[in-house]
Amino acid sequence: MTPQSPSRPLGPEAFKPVPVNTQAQEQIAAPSLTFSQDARSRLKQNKLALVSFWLLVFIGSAALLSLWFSPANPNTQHLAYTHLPPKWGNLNVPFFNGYRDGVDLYARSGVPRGTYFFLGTDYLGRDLLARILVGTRVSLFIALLATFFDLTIGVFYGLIAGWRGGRTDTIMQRLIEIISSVPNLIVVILMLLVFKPGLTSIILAIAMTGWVTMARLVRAETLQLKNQEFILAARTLGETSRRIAVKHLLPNLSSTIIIQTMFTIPSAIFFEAFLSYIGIGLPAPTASLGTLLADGQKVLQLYPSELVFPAIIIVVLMLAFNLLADGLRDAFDPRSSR
Amino acid sequence: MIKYVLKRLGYLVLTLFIVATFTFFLMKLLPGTPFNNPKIAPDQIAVLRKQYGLDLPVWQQYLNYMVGVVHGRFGESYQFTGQSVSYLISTRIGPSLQLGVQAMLIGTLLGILLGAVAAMRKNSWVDATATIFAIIGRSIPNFVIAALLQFWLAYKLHWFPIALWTGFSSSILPTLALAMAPLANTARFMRTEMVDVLNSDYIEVARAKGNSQWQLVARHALRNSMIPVVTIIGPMAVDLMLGSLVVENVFAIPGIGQQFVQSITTNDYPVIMGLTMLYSAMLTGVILIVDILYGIIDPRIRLSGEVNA
Repeated sequence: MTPQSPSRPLGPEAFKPVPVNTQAQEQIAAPSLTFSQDARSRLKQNKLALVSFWLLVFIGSAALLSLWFSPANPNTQHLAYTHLPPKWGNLNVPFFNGYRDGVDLYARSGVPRGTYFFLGTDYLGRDLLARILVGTRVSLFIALLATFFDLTIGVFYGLIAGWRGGRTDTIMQRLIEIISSVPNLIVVILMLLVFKPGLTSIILAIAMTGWVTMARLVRAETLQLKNQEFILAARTLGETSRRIAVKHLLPNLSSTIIIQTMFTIPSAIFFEAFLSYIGIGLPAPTASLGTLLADGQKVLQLYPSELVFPAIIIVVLMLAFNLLADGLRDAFDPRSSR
Repeated sequence: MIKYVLKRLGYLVLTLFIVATFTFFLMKLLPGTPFNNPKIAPDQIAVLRKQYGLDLPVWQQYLNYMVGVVHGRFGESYQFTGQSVSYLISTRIGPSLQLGVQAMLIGTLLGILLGAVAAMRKNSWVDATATIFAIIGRSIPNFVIAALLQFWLAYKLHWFPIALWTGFSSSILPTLALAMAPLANTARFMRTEMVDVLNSDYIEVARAKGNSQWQLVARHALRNSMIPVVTIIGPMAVDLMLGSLVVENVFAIPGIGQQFVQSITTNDYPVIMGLTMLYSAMLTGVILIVDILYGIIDPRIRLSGEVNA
């Protein structure tokens, strides 16, 4: 820009139109992303969540594969081999070489050469690794079921209450209030008294109480969504309620549903472990992380490893699910934290 | 306000009534009687049934039970002959209440502190440590924490009594084990909300007026950040009640949690029913108090019934 001298006033010739490239303006520099692609890319940037995801895949497949390739029968007792320390083949790794306090317990108990217990044995000489794998399978199964009830009963209940509104909503809300005012542990205990202790009672209790939070969240979100223009437009065009729910409500609810599911899972795992720990969960021979922890706690002073290994597994499971849930929440709803 | 509280109290009573009815009939559905020990002669069983009122028709038993509940009588224990359920509970509720209140106070206060400091020093090492701590606290089951604390601090280092209830020092470890989950949850909610609040306009104005960071937090940010924390007090109280069941067992504390587990394993139905009622009453009570508190802390919320919508 050259300074204009005062003797020459600005005339129209001083202004020149800048050439406009309309095509360049319209060009989209970044690739267009759908909502789920966007969320996925954000999730991939979250290293902790990714590590958790692969860790869970690993634990899950190990637990599943142990159905066919178990290191040992989890319920076979060897009364001669009780409380053996871990031994990893002939690798001489400290703590994992079959020695405790300088004594080779495998030789002393007369364990044949070539037999190893990777995580040691428990008070009945059962292979701890095999039992942990079974326990993990039980935990993951419970988690899967809790998810199922969340997705079916919870979502359905919330959708209906939110969509219908009015009197239906009031009644359904009161029902939820009553259900949630009884601690779910008590529901389980009542179930246990009527049926016999075991997986059935735990599943029934989760079916009765586990979906309440999901239903509340879905209802609240539906209430907000149903007054928005696109839903109104769909109604005006004569869509049935069912189609609106499937085509318009569910996709918009998906992030809430996924996030809540991920938070349900660790609490379901905790719930089962808790019940088995106080001795009203799965009955005796079946291994579960809770029973393993309870057994381990009894001998904690002498053989800490029998508590530590199942504890590590349950903590890793809960940690991984929690971290993945946090990651998913941040990915789907970047506003929610940080 | 009064109308709202009365309405909520009405619902509370209705809920408890339904819970009581449900438990009663569930207990009646159970196969057999509590006295099916083959050593007891039939005529003795008849005497026992009469003593416990089990020979009456079901509707009359139900009526008797409900009238009793209204008067605070929950029947007599099957296991401890001659002891009423109310007496049993009253001798055991002390330790449980003390543990619960201590854990709640320590958990929420430390959690608020931790969350606030983490938000003030956002993205620093303080924040990272607090976040890791919060996630770990959420992921380790409280009975594992209890067992490990008992092993290290009591058994190995002899800092605290290993178990039993012999005064304040024996309440420290169970309180710590119980406080971990509320601490982690409070810290997480507090941090998220505090970060939001610290970015808001009125904090900017207060900062422009020359308030120091600590003044800002203490006078303006803290109160507004505490609203979501108040909403999770209810669920946390429930978790504490459940947690106390197992923590009391680990530390052999004579509280209602331990009594509950014991009653389940011995099929002591009247005690189970009484404790079920007690837990439900405490739970609904806590939720009601939290809803009222919610309105007091945040004056924008009119107590209109939409509070927990």
